[in-house]
Amino acid sequence: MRENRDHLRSLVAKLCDEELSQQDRDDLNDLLRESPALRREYASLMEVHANLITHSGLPEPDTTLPKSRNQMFVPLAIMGALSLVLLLILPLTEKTEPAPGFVSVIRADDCDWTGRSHPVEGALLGKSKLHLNSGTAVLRFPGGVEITLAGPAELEIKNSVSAILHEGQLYFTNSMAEDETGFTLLTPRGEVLDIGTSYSLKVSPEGSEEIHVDDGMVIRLGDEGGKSTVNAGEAMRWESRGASRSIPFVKKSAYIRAERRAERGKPIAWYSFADQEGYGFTENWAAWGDSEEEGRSIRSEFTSQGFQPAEHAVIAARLKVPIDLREDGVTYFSLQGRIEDAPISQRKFYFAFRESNNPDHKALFTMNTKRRTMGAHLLHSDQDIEGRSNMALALPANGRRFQLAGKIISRADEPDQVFLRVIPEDEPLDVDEPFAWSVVGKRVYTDFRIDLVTLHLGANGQISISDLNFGKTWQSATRPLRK
Amino acid sequence: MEREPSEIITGLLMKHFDGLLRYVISLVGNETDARDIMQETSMALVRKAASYDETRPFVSWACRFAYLETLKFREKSGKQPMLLDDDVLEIMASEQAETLTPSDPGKEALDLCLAKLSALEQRLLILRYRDEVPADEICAELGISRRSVFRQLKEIREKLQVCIKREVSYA
Repeated sequence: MRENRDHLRSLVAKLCDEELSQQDRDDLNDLLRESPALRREYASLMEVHANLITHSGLPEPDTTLPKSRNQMFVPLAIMGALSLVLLLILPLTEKTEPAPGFVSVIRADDCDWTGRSHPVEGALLGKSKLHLNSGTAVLRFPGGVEITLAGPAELEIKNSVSAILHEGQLYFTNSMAEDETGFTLLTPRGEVLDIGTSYSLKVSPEGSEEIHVDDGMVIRLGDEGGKSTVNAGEAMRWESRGASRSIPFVKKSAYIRAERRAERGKPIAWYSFADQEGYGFTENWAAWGDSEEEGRSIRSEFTSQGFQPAEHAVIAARLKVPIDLREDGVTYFSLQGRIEDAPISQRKFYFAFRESNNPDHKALFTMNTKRRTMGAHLLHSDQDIEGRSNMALALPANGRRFQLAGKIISRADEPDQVFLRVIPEDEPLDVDEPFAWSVVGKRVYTDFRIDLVTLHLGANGQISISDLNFGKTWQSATRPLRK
Repeated sequence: MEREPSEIITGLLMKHFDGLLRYVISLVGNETDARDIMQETSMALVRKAASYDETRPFVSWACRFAYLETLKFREKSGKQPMLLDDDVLEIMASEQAETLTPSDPGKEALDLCLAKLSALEQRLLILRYRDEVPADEICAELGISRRSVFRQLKEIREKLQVCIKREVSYA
């Protein structure tokens, strides 16, 4: 019997490590057929293997620090197939492709993360487990749900319509829906459904749960079968042993400290073409591309409106701090300008962020006023159509100022992606990144190290560019339009 | 507030997805096939949401669907060799379904047991399971033979198995 058990263990080990031969399969079936005890042994070992596959955290080796559960576990990179809900909501991707993210981190103030996921502002998250030690992060889900997570807290994003608060506190709000949002927040012992609601939720390490409702109504379904309704201005607490009671209501402001900062950092690079000043670039702007033209001063093309060439012109400058798409990160940028009144059937206007050593490697942003399309692309070459995407949308109106704001999400092991948004003159500049982007580029694997900015204008003086900004946060990279 | 049956099933499915996936992995032996089967299972469960009796345990009900989808998957795969013979699969599926519990105590126990492993053992698991590094690259990174990698992984899984059993029995 002992011999059979050892043999079974060897076979399971081979199975787990994909080394099982046909003979091994036959042996395995014979053993499992033979004995209930061996079947239990097989099930138990496979349970460990499958648990390691599906587990949302594996420890990072650490021999020096005392082991605390929260600090020791990191979200697992294995995402694999998504639940049905996700399949219905998100476009299907190739099996080998990592699943696209669907939750935007629209703010990450003083965040100290532990574990594998250390999202910065602007990052797109998929199914993942977040361990926030301290600080405040605001996560925006599709459909308008925003969750403000206040550290210390542990939140698991299951899919675009559900998450689990394992521990800690959060503030839930939905600015879009007046009725049921269809979003489910799970806790270790229950399920929270909101109806056009803003509420605070707290899960203590001891297992008790609290809900304080600011607006609307919340329904909590307990695992034990209980159903509770909490209305606006009310609060309830559920003890770990199941007893529940009303408690004094505490407003969000006293519960989650998530006030927006007045100052969100300055741009990492900035240039005003109107004032001809800025920083973060290694040299002055000069003509680019044509060997005879390259390096030529373009100061004569500058007007009080900014860069406004009378003929087709391409100018370039190098960034002091490159944008490294080989690393995880987010870079925001914005470009301000103005389109003149004259009806022009075709204007050429695009800009690109390139590798100076290999300028074909680029993030390219285009605007075609004739076709009324825009593009946001990551390209390995001009011939390379992979990663191109164009969408029709309302372009900036003639005779008006505009801001084109975008972001570049770089990932070490996953595809990179670019986004672009037109902010017209009459649209107020929000303090957070936009809910929807005008153009979303395709996800493309790149290892670019962008250090060159090129602006291409062929509008016969009909378009002027006044300002260019790069920043690590939305607020640092965008600014109200010049008057 | 009355919830639609499909909403109820979707919520339960999200909660128990990992447990069901582990059940299917034990039947087919590999993660890729198991995830394909779970995809079909998820859709079948939502389609049949109206027939779910809320007074009955969800996991047992869902396991039945997962088993049927496993059979369909095997049929579609034609002559490709399957891990388990039909008769063994049937026994395993029914015995396994009985042992699955909604609370999933093994998951918490795994957390505790993983923390008890040595730094090297943890590193090996991270490479194998989290980073999905091929065995040959693990050999190169850790400077040990291929055989040694497999032997150590086997020992770690068996160590975890014992530890989890102990933790669950204490709970």
